[in-house]
Amino acid sequence: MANILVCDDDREIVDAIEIYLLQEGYTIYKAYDGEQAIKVLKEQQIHLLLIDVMMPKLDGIHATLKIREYSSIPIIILSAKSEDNDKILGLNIGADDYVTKPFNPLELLARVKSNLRRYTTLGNLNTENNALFQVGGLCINDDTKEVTVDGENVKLTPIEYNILLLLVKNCGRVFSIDQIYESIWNEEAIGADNTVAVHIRHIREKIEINPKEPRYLKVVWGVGYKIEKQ
Amino acid sequence: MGKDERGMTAEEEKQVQAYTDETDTDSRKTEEIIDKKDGNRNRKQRDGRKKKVKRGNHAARMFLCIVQHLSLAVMVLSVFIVAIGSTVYVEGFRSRGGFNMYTMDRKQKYEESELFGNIFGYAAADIIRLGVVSGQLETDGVFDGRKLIDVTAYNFRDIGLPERYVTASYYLEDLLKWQNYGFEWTGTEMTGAQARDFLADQTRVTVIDPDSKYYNTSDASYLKSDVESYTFVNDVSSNQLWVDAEDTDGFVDDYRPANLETVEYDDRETATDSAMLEDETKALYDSGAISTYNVLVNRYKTAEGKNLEQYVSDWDLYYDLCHNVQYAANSLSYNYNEYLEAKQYYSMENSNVRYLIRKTVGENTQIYTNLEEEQEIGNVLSLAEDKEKGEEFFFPGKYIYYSPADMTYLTNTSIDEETVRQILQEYDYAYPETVEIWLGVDTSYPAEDAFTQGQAGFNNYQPYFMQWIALAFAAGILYLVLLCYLTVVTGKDVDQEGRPYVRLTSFDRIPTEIMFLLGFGMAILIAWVMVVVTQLLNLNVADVMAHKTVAHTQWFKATLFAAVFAVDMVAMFFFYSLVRRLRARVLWKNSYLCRFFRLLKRCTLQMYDNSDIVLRTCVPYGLFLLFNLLMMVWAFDTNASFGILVLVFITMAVDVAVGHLLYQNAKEQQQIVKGIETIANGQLEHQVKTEKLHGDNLTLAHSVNSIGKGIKEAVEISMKDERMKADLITNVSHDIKTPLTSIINYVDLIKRERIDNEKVQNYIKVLDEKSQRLKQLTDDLVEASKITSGNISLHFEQINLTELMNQTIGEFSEKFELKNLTTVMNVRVKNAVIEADSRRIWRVMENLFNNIYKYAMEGTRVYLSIEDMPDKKKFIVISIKNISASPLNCNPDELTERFIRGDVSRTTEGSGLGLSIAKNLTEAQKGTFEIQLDGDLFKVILTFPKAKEEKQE
Repeated sequence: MANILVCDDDREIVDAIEIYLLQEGYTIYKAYDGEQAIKVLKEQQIHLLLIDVMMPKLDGIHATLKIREYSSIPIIILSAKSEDNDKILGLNIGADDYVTKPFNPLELLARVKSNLRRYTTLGNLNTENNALFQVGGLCINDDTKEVTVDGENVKLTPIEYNILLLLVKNCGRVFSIDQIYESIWNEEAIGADNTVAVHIRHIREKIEINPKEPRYLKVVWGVGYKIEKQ
Repeated sequence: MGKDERGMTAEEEKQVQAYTDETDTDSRKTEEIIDKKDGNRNRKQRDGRKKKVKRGNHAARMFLCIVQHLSLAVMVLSVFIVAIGSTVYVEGFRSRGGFNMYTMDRKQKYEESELFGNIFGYAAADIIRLGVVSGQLETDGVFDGRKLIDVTAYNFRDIGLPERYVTASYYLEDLLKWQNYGFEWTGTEMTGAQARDFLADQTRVTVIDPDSKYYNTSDASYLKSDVESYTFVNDVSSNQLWVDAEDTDGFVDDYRPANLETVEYDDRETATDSAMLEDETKALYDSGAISTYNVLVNRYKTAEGKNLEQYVSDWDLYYDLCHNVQYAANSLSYNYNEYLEAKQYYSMENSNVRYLIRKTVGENTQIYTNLEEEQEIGNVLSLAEDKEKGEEFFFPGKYIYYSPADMTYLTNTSIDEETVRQILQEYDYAYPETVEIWLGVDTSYPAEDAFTQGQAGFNNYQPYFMQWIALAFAAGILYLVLLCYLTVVTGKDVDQEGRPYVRLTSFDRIPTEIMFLLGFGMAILIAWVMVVVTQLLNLNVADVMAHKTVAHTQWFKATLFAAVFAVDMVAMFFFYSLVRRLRARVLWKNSYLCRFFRLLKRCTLQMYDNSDIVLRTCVPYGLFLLFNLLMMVWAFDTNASFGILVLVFITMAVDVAVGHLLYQNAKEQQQIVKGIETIANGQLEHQVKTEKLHGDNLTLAHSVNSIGKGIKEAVEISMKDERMKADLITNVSHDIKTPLTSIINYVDLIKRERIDNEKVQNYIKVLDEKSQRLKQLTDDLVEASKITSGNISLHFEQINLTELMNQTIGEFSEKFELKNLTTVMNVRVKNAVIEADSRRIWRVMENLFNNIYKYAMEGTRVYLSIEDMPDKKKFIVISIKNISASPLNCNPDELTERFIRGDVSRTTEGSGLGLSIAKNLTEAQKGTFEIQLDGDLFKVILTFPKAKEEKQE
């Protein structure tokens, strides 16, 4: 299985994560500051890095920057900093995911898995097929009507599928409830209807690791919905 | 799984304990709340009472106001009644007008009053005069046209006759007719001789007989002529000479009994002192020159059938005689007219006065009376013999009997002897001492006359006189008291919080000038109405003033009352308005003049503020310069001397210099002002250049620079503080979150261990829940503190509320289904678009919906509505209503203030900060957030300003 490096100055957290990951069969390497992490990365074949931000000697942000100079392994930042700015900063300097503390262990595991899948199996996916739509780890095959997230199949109802397809086809564009309704049901929207919103929530629950903080299907409150470009 | 009894018990105990604690606090809270509610209710009741009192106050003031007008009306009416009642208009014969009433008579009968006495007194005077006139015109009680009138004696009747005089006698009717026709004089040209021949050869002189039994000449002469009708005039042809001065003295001194003789005298034998004149006259006569002599045309002859010129031989005496005839005729004519009227006025039918005057001169007795029956006259005369029976006089009523001869004065009136004697003395020439006067008033009043008028007035007013005066005083005092009171309290009022303020009526808000104009107009209108009414009713102001009958009528009084009431009402309306305006200090503020001045001020200031500082200096200076120049031109025009020319040039030079200085100064100031503006606009590092500045401007510039520096430092410090605050929050949350992560993880790990011990499982469950809650709490705390410290940045965009609401409902549909909650949405606005931060407004909605999910009663409906604000169309109102599962016994405000108050949520779920965060976020997005509780109905009302419709499709 994959080798995962966990880096946090809080040893208890590192130990707890180790327990979870060991249960899933991963090999764990531990580091307690940025310098140690870089050292381990050089010595070992690491497939995924979990790194804290606020650490002695070299913090997570600078460590990530340094690592990105020579490695493209998935990096998940684990931080107590839950501000938007922190998340944006983390993702912009090269992290693949951002998990805030205190985290749900199951969510963390899911994210680890997802990132590893993308890194190992979907890295060089063929996207020449016209019926194939891909946004990040989300992949829709319109021929087979199959939807996969990080390689895992997701079962959607026909309406959910159509909505997702519409959004993925127009990746980045915001659709209002009425617009979605009109294009899926081919009827004029009467307004004041939350059917679409319920479907969207269902889709989110199926394709997102944390539906409240969706990676793909984003809610633009008071405006509509969209699939974020990755 | 086996149950551990003890464990369960312990937990239960704990729970029970906790529950009791909660209920304790709950019940305490409830009590407090009930107290508060009671307090509220009490306050409301008090307010209500206050309002009632206020309304009551208002009504009471209205009532007092009306009472005030009424009291003035009553006072004026009372005064009016007292005024018209204190005098009575009486139409006596010669005495017409107001007779005073006397307060001392108010308990007397009319007949005992001063008023009656006065009227009676005037009547007595009339009758005594009538007696005199009757004596002149009557013979035996009947008008006698053939009565002889000795003209000279008649004219001298009140001053007395000389013992010797020239006279002629005419028939009364001739004189009256002559007077009616008029006396004519003709100019006749005569020579001296002719003139002498025109007159008689001798002047006929009448001499009063020294043997007369009268004490003085005047008595003798006139009374004789009056009573004895010409018996004393002797024949013309007496040879007795003109009595000289010595004789005259002797006659006066001796009081010889009178037996009048007429003596003839020759003017050629006049007294020595006139001898010279006589000579001249003689010379004139003899000269033969023609002169014009005025001669009276003898329309009527004397009783002897002669012309006047036949009585005298001298022109002076002739003229005297002619004038005597003229005067006598004139006087008699006047007396005759009066006599006719008085006879009529004091006749039996027209008057209540009864009179009888008996005058005895010598053997001759004359009776003047208005008694018609011989019998009555006889009664009177017989009664006069028995004066002891004065009380039962000759008719019922009041009487006066006066007989100067035997010094008897009898009366049952208040008129005393002195009064009657004084009246008699005026006519002493006509009344000898032997006169007897009976005067009486028939108090059964068979006729309408002055007495009945007096009686009417007396009876109408006299008994109530004091009451009216008292009423007038009382009403007057009441009026003053009310006026003072209402002036003090008018407009004073208390608002709902109990603070006093001045309440203005809508009339009080009318501009002051218009109020004054209206007041002036009303005054003119009232005056005009009064004039018109007076004219329409043909009212004579003089009549009213004289208290004639019109003033006594009921309608006049009613009209007066109403008029006073109305006038006072109008006057007080304006007066109180004025008082209120003064009290509220709006008299000036509310006037057009004030508005005009304010406008003027604003215009000037606006011009001043908006103009350049240089311009501001230049314009006044320019005006000054212009004035200076004009003065110079004027100086040139008037006095163009060399000295003045020099002075003018110096002045001009100074002007220019001053102008330059002013310009420099203004420029420096402008530079500083610009510097200040730059700093105010945010460029705190800006410094005013000080190199070219001088004096105060330099100091000012330095100060401005240091202020700018100070502000810059302060801003930097405050920015640093802000950053530190934000860092602090972040750090604290980080420091809490790191250990929390371990707790959560290890609790989770423990959960994964297969632990059979149920007690431990329960412990783990509690740990799990509480650690999750702590996580939530930390997040909320950070967010709430950030929002309240304003440490969030908002990205405003256009938000469609309908969309948002639908999205939210969609998000919560599952949760709501769990609790069987149904949402009912009403959108009553077309484009519910506002400007807000998308994620923050979602947070608001999320918190609210979470709140509903947590606290709403299962199986109820949740009502959501989006609509325009009823009166302000620029706002959108979102209301969310649901039925609470548990009773909400707390203040709506407390729900959102928990964080601030540090109150800990009672429930295990959530942080209790949800509503607080929602409220603060709403307010950060320019909305308002209000919670209303109505029983179990929980209602949240959000308002947001509408977005500008630029991006609308």
